[in-house]
Amino acid sequence: MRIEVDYDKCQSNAVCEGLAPSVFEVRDDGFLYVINENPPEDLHAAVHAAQEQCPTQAISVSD
Amino acid sequence: MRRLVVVGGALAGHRSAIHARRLDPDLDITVLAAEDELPYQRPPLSKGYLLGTVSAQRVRLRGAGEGYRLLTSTPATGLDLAQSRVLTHEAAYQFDLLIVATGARPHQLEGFSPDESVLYLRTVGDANRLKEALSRIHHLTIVGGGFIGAEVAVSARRLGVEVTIVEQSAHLLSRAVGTGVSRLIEENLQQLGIQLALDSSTTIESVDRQRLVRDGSREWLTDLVVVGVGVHPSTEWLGGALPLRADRGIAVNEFGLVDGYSQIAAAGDVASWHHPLYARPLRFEHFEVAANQALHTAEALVKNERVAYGDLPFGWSDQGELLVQILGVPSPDLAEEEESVVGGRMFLYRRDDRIEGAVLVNAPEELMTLRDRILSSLSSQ
Ligand SMILES: Cc1cc2nc3c(=O)[nH]c(=O)nc-3n(C[C@H](O)[C@H](O)[C@H](O)COP(=O)(O)OP(=O)(O)OC[C@H]3O[C@@H](n4cnc5c(N)ncnc54)[C@H](O)[C@@H]3O)c2cc1C
Ligand code: SF4
Repeated sequence: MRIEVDYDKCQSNAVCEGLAPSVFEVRDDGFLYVINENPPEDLHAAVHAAQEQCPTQAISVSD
Repeated sequence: MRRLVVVGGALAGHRSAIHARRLDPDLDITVLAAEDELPYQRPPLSKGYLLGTVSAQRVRLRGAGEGYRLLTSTPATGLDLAQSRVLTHEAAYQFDLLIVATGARPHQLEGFSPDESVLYLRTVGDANRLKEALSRIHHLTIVGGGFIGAEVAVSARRLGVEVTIVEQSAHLLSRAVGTGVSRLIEENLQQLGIQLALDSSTTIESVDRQRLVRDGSREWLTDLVVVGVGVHPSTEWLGGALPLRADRGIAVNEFGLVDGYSQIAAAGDVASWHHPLYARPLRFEHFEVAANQALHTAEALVKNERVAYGDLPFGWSDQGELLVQILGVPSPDLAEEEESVVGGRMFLYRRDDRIEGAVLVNAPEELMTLRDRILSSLSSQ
């Protein structure tokens, strides 16, 4: 799995972090960081949920 | 070396410039920007930026001003097609390729000229003034019940300001969505203690340092008026040089090329884009649409490979506890039907058998399936 975030679209509301905290992190500088671009299998469901629920559709995932 | 000139230095301008750079490292790229700012995102300006949760640094687009020559405070004043030049007050910029991304600006309402107690919200400068005012005023009146008005109302209320929204029509957002969605938005605002004056025609006059608002039977004193009665494409500077459509946007085809030109394109709020899924021209005022169209525009001009923009248009509005997500074209003149979903609400808008648009309220987990469903409905004849 590969995760890509379109940072222009990201609004840093941390919905993704709530769903997959070991993959996404909104830091104190206000920007989102993908801390694990190739997450292990057991996190795939959480990453897909983040992709689905990102309010601005900034996350894309390829397998 | 080929020269690309981009007019407009915000979302669509920045994205098309960045993408053009990716496609052609040798391209000479100049972005002419009216504002005195690095390219930034507008959505936070009515939300987190006013609340102080989103900083000025954060609203900047990543890589803003990198990879192209950015000339701020340099509005284009004309387009000389005969000599392929964009004119500014001081100079003329020769182009081989041109992208128009001048976006939109607020309609000015008669009798509401901007001054110290009347404000229109579009730029960071406007947001700074509004933010400062919200820290000291007691009462805010918002004229116009659109998305931006509703968002500003929620932000102001959260900051402890009394708010009244004045709207001509019987419902908020009556030009954008159906009444089912309007009602949910109205209820949410009322629960927050925001006053709604619907079906209202307003006059306003100065009284000492405040404003007296009269709305038929009622009148009240207010400290600040924010007007949000819609926007129109910024095309005045073109002086008629490029073709416009009835929606006042620049006429572009499905690739983003301006009708009749292969070296001039337009993207974002300024563009009336021929949408292949709807088989008609559509102009949007959505962040995501501008962001995506910008990429298509750069491809159409810089690469010779043209890819039609056929995405399902998407917009959203954050109003405190309410997340409204808009897919496609939920025209208020179409029949609105609700389908039940877990957790939130879902409204569909059909023309004949095709679902042309939908609105989700607090149901973001439905978005991707719903998108696929609308896409297949639109592509089946
Ligand atoms: C307060 C606010 C909140 C919003 N919230 C949302 C939201 O939650 N969700 C959503 O989907 N959309 C939202 N939008 C809409 C979204 O921001 C726009 O769709 C988006 O900004 C369009 O980008 P653009 O680049 O096409 O145009 P713009 O952002 O309008 O940028 C055009 C730029 O061109 C410049 N320009 C104009 N004329 C000239 C000239 N002659 N020469 C040089 N430069 C010129 C302007 O100064 C401006 O900087 C919001 C808009 C506002 C104002
Ligand atoms: S959910 Fe989307 S918008 Fe929010 S922080 Fe994550 S990527 Fe950004």
